[in-house]
Amino acid sequence: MSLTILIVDDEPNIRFLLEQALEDLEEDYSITLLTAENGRDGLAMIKEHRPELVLLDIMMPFMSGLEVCEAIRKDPVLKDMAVIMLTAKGQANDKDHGMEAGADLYLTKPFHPTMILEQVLEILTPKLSLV
Amino acid sequence: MIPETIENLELSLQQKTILLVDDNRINLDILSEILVAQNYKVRRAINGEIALQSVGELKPDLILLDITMPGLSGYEVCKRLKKCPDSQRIPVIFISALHESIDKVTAFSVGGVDYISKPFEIVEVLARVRNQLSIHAAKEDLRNALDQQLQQRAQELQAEAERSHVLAQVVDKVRRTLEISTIFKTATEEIRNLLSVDRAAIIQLNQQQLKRGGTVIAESKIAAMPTTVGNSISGNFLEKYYRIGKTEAKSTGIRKVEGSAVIHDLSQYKADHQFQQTAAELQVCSSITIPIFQKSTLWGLFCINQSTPTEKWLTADIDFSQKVCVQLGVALHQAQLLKQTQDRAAELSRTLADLKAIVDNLADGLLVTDLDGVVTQLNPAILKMLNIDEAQLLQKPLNHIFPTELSSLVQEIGCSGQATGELEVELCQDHQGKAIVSPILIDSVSPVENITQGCVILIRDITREKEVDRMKTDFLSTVSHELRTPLTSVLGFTSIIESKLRSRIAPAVAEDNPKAQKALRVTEKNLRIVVSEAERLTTLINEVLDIAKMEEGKVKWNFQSIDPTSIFKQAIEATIPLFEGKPIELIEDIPSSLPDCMLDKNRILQVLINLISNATKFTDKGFVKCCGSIQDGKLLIRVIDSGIGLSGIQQEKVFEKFTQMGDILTSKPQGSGLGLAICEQIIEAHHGQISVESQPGCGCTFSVSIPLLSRPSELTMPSSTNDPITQNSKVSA
Repeated sequence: MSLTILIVDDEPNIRFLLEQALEDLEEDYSITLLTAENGRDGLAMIKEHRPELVLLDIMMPFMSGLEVCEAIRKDPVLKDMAVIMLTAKGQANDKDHGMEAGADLYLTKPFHPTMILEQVLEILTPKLSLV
Repeated sequence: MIPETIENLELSLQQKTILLVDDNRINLDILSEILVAQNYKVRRAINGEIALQSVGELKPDLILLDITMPGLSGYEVCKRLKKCPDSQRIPVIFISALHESIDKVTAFSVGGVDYISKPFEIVEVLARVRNQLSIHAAKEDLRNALDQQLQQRAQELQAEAERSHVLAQVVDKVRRTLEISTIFKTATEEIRNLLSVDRAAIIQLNQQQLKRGGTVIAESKIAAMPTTVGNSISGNFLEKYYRIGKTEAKSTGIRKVEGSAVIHDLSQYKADHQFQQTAAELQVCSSITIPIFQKSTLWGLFCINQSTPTEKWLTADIDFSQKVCVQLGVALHQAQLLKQTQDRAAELSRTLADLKAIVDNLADGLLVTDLDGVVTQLNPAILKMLNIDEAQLLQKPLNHIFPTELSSLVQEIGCSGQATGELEVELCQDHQGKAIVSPILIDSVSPVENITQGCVILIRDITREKEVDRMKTDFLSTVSHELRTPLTSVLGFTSIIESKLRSRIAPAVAEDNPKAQKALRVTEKNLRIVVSEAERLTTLINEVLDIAKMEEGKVKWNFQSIDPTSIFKQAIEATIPLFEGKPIELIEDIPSSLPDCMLDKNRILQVLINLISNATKFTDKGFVKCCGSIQDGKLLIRVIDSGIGLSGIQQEKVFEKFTQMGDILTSKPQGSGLGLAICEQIIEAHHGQISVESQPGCGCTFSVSIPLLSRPSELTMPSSTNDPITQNSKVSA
């Protein structure tokens, strides 16, 4: 059984960037990368694929990342899912909002791909060992 | 030989009429003969009744009166004569055969002046008659002289009374009216009437100087004289005319009246044609001229003129005119004071009108309150802002309309009399207002202590500003997002390229292909530049957003009780890479632990990193020293470097936004120019202070001091084992 990471971002470039940043994981750990281009689609895919980790943008059409995160935390089946918020909203209170919504980690754009990789690995390591 | 005077007397006496009264015709004949022989005029009466009748018809100069007569006795006749005012002064000589002393006494008691006994000696009768006539004549002369003197004195007194009356009238006018033209009119009319002269006129001098000439501004004149009001009189004429008058006043002994000039006959003086022409036009021949002084300044001349020569001007008249002129001077001074007062009042009222116009047209609302917070004045704008009537606010306590916070603020500022306060207040139609409260200070005798009499509250509608503010925040948020997203791509992809270049491409490039190797190195370097610049851009965006939020007061501070040494350690760790490859030593002067302080850890870390990285930026060799300590209840942080230092002007500006030290000292600006401005904001939020000391070429010392007790959100510290004071005292001990 392989692990799944879902990338939810309305910016195709960012999705592409994150895919590249995490592509080593695909090779090294057979992790599956999925992408969604807005919150609504993202939540649908979350429910369908039950990824181990969601990289979630905040400002997106149809449904914001905060709403998606809240929905995850409210869902008894999904509530323990790891969520990293990746957003351009970098102010202190934005971060608070993200943490309140239930994010495990709140990272601001721009970010270093290697830093993302490190953070993802840190979160997934316990699960990888289970695989 | 008879002396000449006696002879004259004889002559005068011989003109006299003597009434002889005797019932004895023989006696009458004898006496008549004697007296007529002496050239007296003689009338005769045979009894008392006829005698009285004769006196009633024509008064004699002397009566020779027999005593014992049928009908009226001589005594009775004399008594009756003395009773009648017309005849009482006629001397009566009794001539009688009665010898008793009592008869003589009776004769004198009824008014007789002498007594001749019969039979009489002719020479005695003549001597006594002549004697009594002389005495009578002398008495009459004396009486006439006295009468004349009395009359003259009475006239003088009358004139004096009239002058006093006129002066009183002028004084009264001066007191009662401030209308200078009325006073001039009264003065000229009264003086002309009193002195019975042809003209009394007032000349106002140009520029208070005789030589500048003047203008006749008031006159009173007889009909025959030409009108001179409005006439300009040349300086030449006035100077000469006044000089002549003064010289004449001196020569005629009129010294009593200072400055007065008199001319008795102007035609006696030789003068040029122009002078004569002016004198002829004014029809001046004799005059009194008196200067009029307004305080100590020569204002004009009072001219009293006759068209004919005057025999003698009276000193009393000049003196009186002088007194009138003194009163005129007083009137002029009063009029001047009145004008000044009126001018000032007018100016004040203009200023007040201007002020009222300004206040009424002020776009901001204005309220004035007393110390109790009762509204004493307001402007129309405030009523419009609140959509209320004046009656709802004027003379009412502030808290009728406004929240109690405003009343409290007014009282606080009113009592302290210092500084101003601000408070946001709700206006009508959901508008937001900002009230600025300032004390109204009255200058007191003591320069230190001011007395407050109330407050001025200026209320500005800040709805629009608030909206703009919100738009600015929205804009910043959008910009932030919009800038960060592409930056994420730039930075992210560049990093990935860099990493792939290093891990995948570089090993594949043939070592024996120098061109490919070089291109690889250059590409790697270029990519590093792109990453570094993208990072710089990220920092800049973060700092711009940071300072904007701080200035708006929208930063949420996360104060916690923390040992500052942990923050120092973190800052030093974070900045170690900056020292790599530079001959700079990092000196740490930080104790192993410090008392806990209320700090926003991340923000203080931001300050420390900023100060250390600044120090490394401007120091090429030497050291950067980082010190931390507790002194006088304050956390002291100092970052000292041995770098290029700052000039005085740079030190003043170093905490201003977008000030870059690099742009002056080096060719290349480094950083956003916001770092120190942000540091200042952070330290101020901690109620602390940040400062810099430096000498160009001798490095910089940035000092931060933060009071241990300060906690912006909560000024009272809980008493616990973490009490910084307790801990501080431990450290001090």
